[in-house]
Amino acid sequence: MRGFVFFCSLAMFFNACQTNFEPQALPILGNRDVGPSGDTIYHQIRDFSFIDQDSQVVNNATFAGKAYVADFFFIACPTICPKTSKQMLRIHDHFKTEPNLLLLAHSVAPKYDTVAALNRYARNLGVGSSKWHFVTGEQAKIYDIAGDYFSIAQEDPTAPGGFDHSGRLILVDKNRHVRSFCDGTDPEDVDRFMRDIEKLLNEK
Amino acid sequence: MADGTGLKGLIPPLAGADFLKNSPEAVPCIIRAGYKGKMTVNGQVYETEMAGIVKLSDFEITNIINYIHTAWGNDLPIVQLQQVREWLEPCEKAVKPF
Repeated sequence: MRGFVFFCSLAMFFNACQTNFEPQALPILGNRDVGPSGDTIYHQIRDFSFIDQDSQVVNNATFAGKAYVADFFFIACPTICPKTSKQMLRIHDHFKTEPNLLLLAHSVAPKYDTVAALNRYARNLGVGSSKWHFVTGEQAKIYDIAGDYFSIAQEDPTAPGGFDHSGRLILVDKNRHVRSFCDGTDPEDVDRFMRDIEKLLNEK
Repeated sequence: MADGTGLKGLIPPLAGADFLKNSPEAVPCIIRAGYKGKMTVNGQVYETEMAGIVKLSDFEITNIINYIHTAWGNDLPIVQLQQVREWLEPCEKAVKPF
């Protein structure tokens, strides 16, 4: 019994300590390398250039000085996309007036999801390209860049709808580093992710 | 969606949808073969294509319809397997979205 009481007080002590810590900064995710001068080279989103629902070029410069949430989807997707789109919409609405956060949805079926189709999709969702870019482009380039976002995208005739992709939402900072991600089909995980977004936006 | 509310102007709701009440005979074929074109639900026009779920049996489709008819506050009649089979008769061969 005495041991148990001791254990409890110890646990309380540590809990009390923990609450005094500053909230930890978000990590920089992904593989690291060491550069020639000994510096750590962090995983970065590569250069890209796609076209959005308003026929605008969307590239790295579009997100200069801003953070963004990226995901992969396609319009006729019968499985997870409606769920992830609903969560992306939640993030959109929550950070609507936050100028330093944008959203970027990549179509994994770019041959079907044309600019016109994406435009209609965004319009029906009630969102605009000043905040949320829906992009199409060269399929191979989209599939390649999915890896940078720790996501997969591939054409697969056996998958429902003909395309396979992950439902992750990925948070990228102004230095093109991935700082957080979540399962876009799980509203609770998205709650945690939105707190991470707040944390990133509050970084100096 | 999990709460039957749909998604803005993209996906029509199932909860409180007048379409279910007015056109129950169309529902089994939509589940099996999908839907392309415009659809009006509760006065709003939707046009997002829906993929069918080809592998569902008549029995499974009946169960889904009865779930939809009674979930999220819906209070529509329970349908029988035989009725669903009749509704499925004119249903075109299941279409794939692409």
